[in-house]
Order: sequence, then C-alpha cells, then structure tokens
Amino acid sequence: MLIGQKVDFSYKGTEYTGTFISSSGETITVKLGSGYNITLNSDSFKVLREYDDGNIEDNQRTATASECGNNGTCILTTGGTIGSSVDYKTGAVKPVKDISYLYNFVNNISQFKLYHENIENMLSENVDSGKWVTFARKARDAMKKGNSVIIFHGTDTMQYSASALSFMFEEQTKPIIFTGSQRSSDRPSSDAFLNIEGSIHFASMEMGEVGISMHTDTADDSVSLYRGTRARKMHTSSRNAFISIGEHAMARYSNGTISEETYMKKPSENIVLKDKLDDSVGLIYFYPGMKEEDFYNLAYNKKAVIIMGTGLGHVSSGVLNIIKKLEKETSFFMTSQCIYGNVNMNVYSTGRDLLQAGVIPLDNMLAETALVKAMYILGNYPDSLDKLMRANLRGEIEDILK
Amino acid sequence: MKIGLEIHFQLKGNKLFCSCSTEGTESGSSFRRKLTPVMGEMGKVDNAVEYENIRNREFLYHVSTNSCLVEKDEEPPHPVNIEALNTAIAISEALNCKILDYASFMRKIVIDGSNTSGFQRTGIIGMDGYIETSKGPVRISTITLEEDACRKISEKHGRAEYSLDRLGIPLIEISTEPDIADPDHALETAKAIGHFVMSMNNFRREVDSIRQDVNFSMGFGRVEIKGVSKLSFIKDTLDYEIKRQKALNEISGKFSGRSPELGKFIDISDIFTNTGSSMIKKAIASGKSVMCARLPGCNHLMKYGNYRLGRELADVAKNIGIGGLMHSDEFPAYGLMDDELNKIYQSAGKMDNDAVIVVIADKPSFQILRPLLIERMDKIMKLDLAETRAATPSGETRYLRPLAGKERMYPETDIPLIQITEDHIENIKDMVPKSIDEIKSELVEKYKLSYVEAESLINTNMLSTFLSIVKDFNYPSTVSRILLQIIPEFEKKRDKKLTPDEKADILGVALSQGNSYSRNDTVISILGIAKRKHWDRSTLEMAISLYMLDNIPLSELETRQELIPLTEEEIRKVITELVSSADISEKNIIVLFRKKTVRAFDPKVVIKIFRELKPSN
Repeated sequence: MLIGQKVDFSYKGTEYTGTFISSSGETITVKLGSGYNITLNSDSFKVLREYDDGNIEDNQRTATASECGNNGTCILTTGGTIGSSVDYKTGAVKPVKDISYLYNFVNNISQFKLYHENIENMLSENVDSGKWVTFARKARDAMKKGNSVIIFHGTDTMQYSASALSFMFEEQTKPIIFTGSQRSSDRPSSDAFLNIEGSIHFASMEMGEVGISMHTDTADDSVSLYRGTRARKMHTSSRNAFISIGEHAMARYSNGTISEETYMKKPSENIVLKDKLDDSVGLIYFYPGMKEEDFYNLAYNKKAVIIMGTGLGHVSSGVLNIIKKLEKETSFFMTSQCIYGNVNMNVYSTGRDLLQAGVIPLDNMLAETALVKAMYILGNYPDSLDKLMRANLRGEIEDILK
Repeated sequence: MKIGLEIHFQLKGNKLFCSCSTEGTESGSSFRRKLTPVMGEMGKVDNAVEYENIRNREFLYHVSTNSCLVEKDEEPPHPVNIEALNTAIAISEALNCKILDYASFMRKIVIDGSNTSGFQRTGIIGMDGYIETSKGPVRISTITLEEDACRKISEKHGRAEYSLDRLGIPLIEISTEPDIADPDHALETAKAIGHFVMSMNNFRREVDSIRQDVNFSMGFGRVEIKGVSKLSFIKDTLDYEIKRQKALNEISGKFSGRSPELGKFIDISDIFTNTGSSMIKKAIASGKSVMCARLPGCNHLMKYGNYRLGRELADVAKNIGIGGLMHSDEFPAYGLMDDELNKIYQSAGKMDNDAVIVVIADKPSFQILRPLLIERMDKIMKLDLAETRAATPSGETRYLRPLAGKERMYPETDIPLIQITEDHIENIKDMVPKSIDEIKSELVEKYKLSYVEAESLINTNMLSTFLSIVKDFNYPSTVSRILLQIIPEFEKKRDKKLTPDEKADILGVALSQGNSYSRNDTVISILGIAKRKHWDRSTLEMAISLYMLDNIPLSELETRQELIPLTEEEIRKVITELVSSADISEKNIIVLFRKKTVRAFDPKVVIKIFRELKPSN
C-alpha cells in the first residue's frame, strides 16, 4: 500500500474504507473518512481492496532552489522548529525544505523585498563549528549583495550560533537576525509568524550586529531583539524562552513599529569575516563531588576550557589540583553557573588559589558565549587568547555598553 | 429525514493532558493571542478554517487557577489522564463498541480561539456500537476522548475573550449514525445515552457538563447544530430547523433556484444627518457608515409569515462583527421616519416587489460582507443548506460557519500511541456502566426495593445519591423512603424545594456537587446523627420534619426532647398508665401512645410491651 492510497479493510469483523497512512510492522495507521487516524494491530487488520485510482495525493511540496537577490532581506533557513512540520510517515516533527508558504501567513511584510535560500535542514542540536562557518559565509554572500540577513534556526542552540557569528563578523554592513519558534509552524498558534514578522523589521534597522528575535512575552503582542552574545534560552518550551542576561533587549517590535531600547553598533562600510574556528575548547560544568579524573578527561588535550563554577567562580580543591597539572597546555577560564552576576575570585581563598593557578575570570560573560569566543580567538588570534578573552569584543561582557 | 446525535460529556478530576484540576476560578491575569490558519495534513487549508480567517480576530485569554503551561499552549501535553481514558473505554463497552487497539490522538484545527493551540486534541477510543431504543437499535459510530475548549466570556469589536478554566477538561463524545427517525426519537436516544453518561462516577455534573450536537438532514445537505444545552431542547431545536428549511425550500421555489442579484451597497449616511434614530445617530458619530442595497423580488420574504431571509443574512453579518443588518420587512422600526424610509428606498432603487437591506458598519467591512451575502443567497437558492449552526438558548438555530472537513485533522505527535490491551479492558470491567434494566433488577434483588421505587430512583436521577448513602448508612428501604417520599412530601407542605445546603444538612455534606456523600459518622447531618444514635425510622422522619417544617436548626436536633427515644422503662410506664383506661387494643395503642408523649419511640417495642402488659382477657 502507498501513502494516501484508498483501501477497504476489515477490523474485528466490520468493514471500513480509509486512506493508508503508515505501517510499523506491528501496527497499521489509516485515516478514516472523518479525518481521524486510527492505529490498529497489523494482525487484526485485513486489507479487502486497494484502490488504484491514480489519485494518490502528493503531499511533497517541491523545494524552491532559490538564491538571494540584491538589496533586500535574505532569509537563510537551517531547519529547526520554525521550519518543521509533521512527517506523516513517522508521525514525528521533521524539518521541511520549503518555507515559502509561511509568507502568506505573516502580517505587515508586504513592503519588504524577501529572498529565501535554504542552506541546511538540520535540528539545531546537530549544529557544530563547521556549520557556523557555513552560516557565516552564506550571510556574508547575502550582505555582499546588499541584503540584510535573517537566519531561521532551531532555538535549542541558537544562542551558540548567534554568538559564533557575532565574533566571526568583525565588521558587518547589515543586521544579521536569528529567529525561530517554540511552537512549530504547522499549528495555528505557532509563534513563528510573529517572530518572522519581527525579524524582518529588525533586519531593516541601521544596525551592524547579530541578534536573536523572539517573542517578548507569552502574548502575541511583541517581539524582542536580543544581543547574540548576551541571549540565553531560559525555558524549555515557552514562547518567551529567550532573554538578554543582565541587560535590556536591544529593540522591541510591535504592530509594525520598532522601538530601540539599548545601544546597538552602527553598520560598517565593510564586511570583515574571520571564518576560522578552532573547536579544541571544552565547557565543563562543575558539581559537588565531581571526580578529579572526570574533570581531567574532559579538559585533557584542550587548548582552552571554560569552567562553569559554583557561585562567584569556584571548584573543589581536587579539581584545582588537576587545573594546576594541566595549566601549561590548557588555558582555563571561569564563568558562573549562577548565570546572573559577575564571577569574583578574590573573595574566598578557593578563588584566590584558582587565580594563582592561572584561571582567568570572565566577569559576567555567559559560559556558552565564552566557549564560542574561545574557538574564534584560537582560530584567528591564538597568541592573544588570554588577553582577548578578557576584552569586551561584541558586547559579550555587560557593563561597558551601559 | 435523517438525524444523528453527538453527545459530549465532561469528566471531573484532572484535565486530560495535565494534572490541573477540572475546577477553578479566575486568577486575574490574561494574555492576547492570534491564530493563523495553516495547512491540513494533505496540504489544503480547511474550509471552516479559511472562513475563520476572514473574521481575523484576536483572542484574550483569562488565566484561571486551574491552568498551567499546557493550557497556555506554552508546553507540550503531558501523558493522557488514565482515568479519563478508562472511562471512555468503559462507556464504549457499555455501548457495545469495538475498542481500538491503540488510542491515538489527532489535532483538529479550530481557529475560533476556543483552543489556545488552534486545535483540539481528540482520539477515537471505540467504534461501531449500538444502543437499543423503542424504534430499534441506533448505531454508535464513534466514541472519542477529547479535551474541552475554553469557556467563552465575551465577544466584541473583533476580539473574543475566553477563560482557560474549561480548557483541557476531559470530554467524551458519543456520536450516533443518522439512524434516528424523528425529533421524539432523538430525545429518547439522547436520554438513553444520557443514562450511561450519568451513571459514570466521574461525570462532572455541572450546568454545562453535557452538550449535544444534532446532525440533521431533510434532503438539503447536512446541518450540524452545535451546543443544544438541554435534553428537552433537542426536539424544539429540530422542530425549528425543520420549519426553517421548509421555508427556505419555498423561497428557493419562488426563484426557481436562481439567486436574486444583490444590488450595490450605496452610502446613505447623508440621509441621517438629522435623524431621530438614536441608534443610527450613535453609529454615525462613531465613524460608521450606513449603506443600503436592493434585493430584487424579496419583499415579504425577509420576515413575513414563516419566511426569515433577513435573519439568514443578518447571521452572516453578525459573524464578521456587524451587528446592524436591518431590512424593509421590519420597517418602520428603529426610530426611522417615513421620509427617511422613502429616501432609503429611492437610493436603493426599490420596486414594489423588492426588499432593501440597510447595514451599519465600518466602510471596509462592506467589502468583506458583500461576497458573503451573495454566497449566502446563492446557497439558499440552490438549497445547499449544509453548514454548522449553533443552537440558541431559545430553541432556535443560527448560522455559525461552513462544515468542517477532514482536512482539519492531523496527528498529535506530542502524545505517543497508547496501547489498549485485552487485559486493560478486562481490568476496568467494574467501571462499565450498567443498563437501566440491569440496575433495576439489582436494586430489587440486592436492596429489596420495589420495581416502582427502583424506577423512581433512576428517573429522578437520585440513583447515585441513593447508592452512596446506602453504602455508608445501610437501611436501603429507609433511604429510598426519605428520598422518594419524605423529602418530596415535606417540600410540598412547605412549598419550597431543598437548597443544596439543606440537602447536605439532611443527607450529609456533598463532597463534590451532589455526587457522593461523605461518611455520615464524621460529618454532621441528620443521617449522621441517626446513624450514631441508632435512631429508628420514625425518629429519623420526625427529625427531618422538625428540620424542614419547624425550622429547627441542625445543631439543636441532637438535644431535642422529641428525638430522644423513650427507653423501654419509660415506654413501660406510659403503657401501664394506658392499660388502666378503657378501650385499648393493639389497633389503637400506637395512636394513643403518641398522644401521651412528644418524644420518639420504637413502635415495635411499644407493641411488645403492650402484649406483655395488656389485660389477660
């Protein structure tokens, strides 16, 4: 039987007509005339007749292999929930290839020249440094043609990708806006439509930074733009999962208008992209009772390690001893698992011992941002790692900008 | 004529896809959302969904104390409420359905805002059953388990407000095939299904806990009438719909099925610069326009005799937020003067045989309204009356939206398949509700009630009250007598029904809305005192009489003289006095004894002692 094929079948002695949807070996799923899918044990299901009326509906939307034109807004799709819909074969949510149908459903965007280019089709947990380089190069190509850039991305790792592009673009001529959704776009309640609307407006600003554009609130009232290096996903499922840690959102979009809320860098004349990343960096979350050999295994052979320490930036004395052993080959940087606030390693003796062992405090930089930043610096300025990690390059340390 | 029913009933306890309670109140906060029509499974936008989009509304949701991120559509559904699933299985068994091997849930797109997600989660549990009726079996097509929608609070200015309190309450839908012969048969079938519903322990028993949809066809397409609130309204609603369709059939006949051409909307706001109609004055002041259009050949069809074409058009307007659609059959009305009417008719170009509609709305709305009106006229003339209608509280129906197609369903992928094994079904056998006949014989055999009593308990909906009291208090015949005779008799005497509080004072505190009664030995109630004090039937009845007829408060009953039964010693003393007087026999001893004391006594003991003490002749 083919998907979408009409079949007569019997189940527990009664005959029905339905549309074949899928089978898993043990089960068979058919759609009844009422629209309901029912799933039955294969051995209780008997096919009586398969219709061959050549009228099997093709639900494969054809992908548009378009490329970005000039002087508009280029939407680069990479997958994620925002580009997901239901796969009727497996019943799972899967990325779709073509998002052009979204345009029909987004308000207030008729005045924009939009292009769409599909560059990846992946779930964001599978994104890595190699993908960041791909995204960055695509964004550069789009900006070269005078376009602003919007990147549709899964929300799970969006903050890493946004940070990566923030650092890799030392100068940019247009905004690069990441957006995504927490409810897939096959649902009427999806947040995708408003997030896209907001991101298109943000992309039209006179601004030269990388931001994340997501719902401000649970309501469909406004969308906020968060600095790529300060944004963090703080909720597993809610629409307003993203916030800027320790600073205001950069801007807010509501009903066709943008209000700018905090400092944003102006666009540059030129595009400067440093597209080398060295991913020999580790991120270690310290916990009470962490085994020394576990810490050692995670840190061994890395050029840099970002530690998420407790409180003001602490680890156990056992872990401190490992740091002392590895400190010659590996640079250690301290961030806090508190998420909010600065690390300060002068208050307690453990902190002072860590400083003495060469661990470098990163103030209030987010651990995930620090991880990506270290990759960027190691890839491009390996000799200045310690110095540049402490410098505020893209607003990743919150205070100077205020 | 074909009639089918869809009966929905709510379950109490927890919601279907989260652990929130089914009961709650407003919490004070709210949030605003929009819904976007999206693709159905096969890549088409459903008809009914597209229609809602025209209405382009926004929704304000009031957060309730019994809601969480699931109701806000901010979190995926939690695993299904197993008790609700079991109830659906039990009711499927009772209605002779085949239980599916798996429960799989679908998303049914609903974008009128009543679901925050934009869809209702629903899954078939049982299929192909039947219920016996006096006119033969009525087939049950499906029994589904679904989540209830939000409760609508208000709708105005393009914004609907809903409360989250009802969203997610487990709802079981029982759908019949169109095997029902006529409105009376529909009522009988609904009652028969209702019996099973109401015998479920976790049936919610609130005002809106049962809702009926009626599917009806008399050859002009299937009409789905939503939300018939009371059983007794099923017949009224059907009678109304039959009358309506007959009238539309006649109207269509007059035009031989060809739709009269709706004239252009002509702005006549100027006519009303000095109008005496306060309604029109207000509308114009708020920036609205008044426009009229001619409907050729429709004079005395808009509202005349059985004809209600005006209402058909007004319903369409109302659905896109236009409240004011007037027509010439109503005039003069709304404070319009003759010269204004003449000007209206002149502007529209009305001939004798024509009707004119007058609409008050924002200018842009007319562009949306016009094609909808034309479409409506066309539908009526072609007698393609298939659509979704709403039942009104007055037993009528009004247009709601086009019929929803199968395009609106796609799989709910956040909920894994739930296997329903034979063992599972076997394990919940005790939950399967019994038929009325089974219950009657059980009442007669187990509780020794008469058939008449058994029937009365079922017909007066007091069966579950009876069972829960008997379970605790025992003495089934006493309980039956109190419920069926004593209380109704006293209610009649004092000409006032028991309030829920009074009911609780007598029978025990209702744990939740009249369903089960808490144990009478821990809660103060008349039955509770009776149980503790081992009152006999007459003492108990006297207590109820004092409470209901003499307004003696519950707190005073226990220490009341009359209710302290005479001891054997005291009875002996009274009888001793009595036997010394003349004319005393077993026939009149109780009556005479009662005259001697206000206190309660056990008549059996009186007889026993009388026999001992009576003169030995």
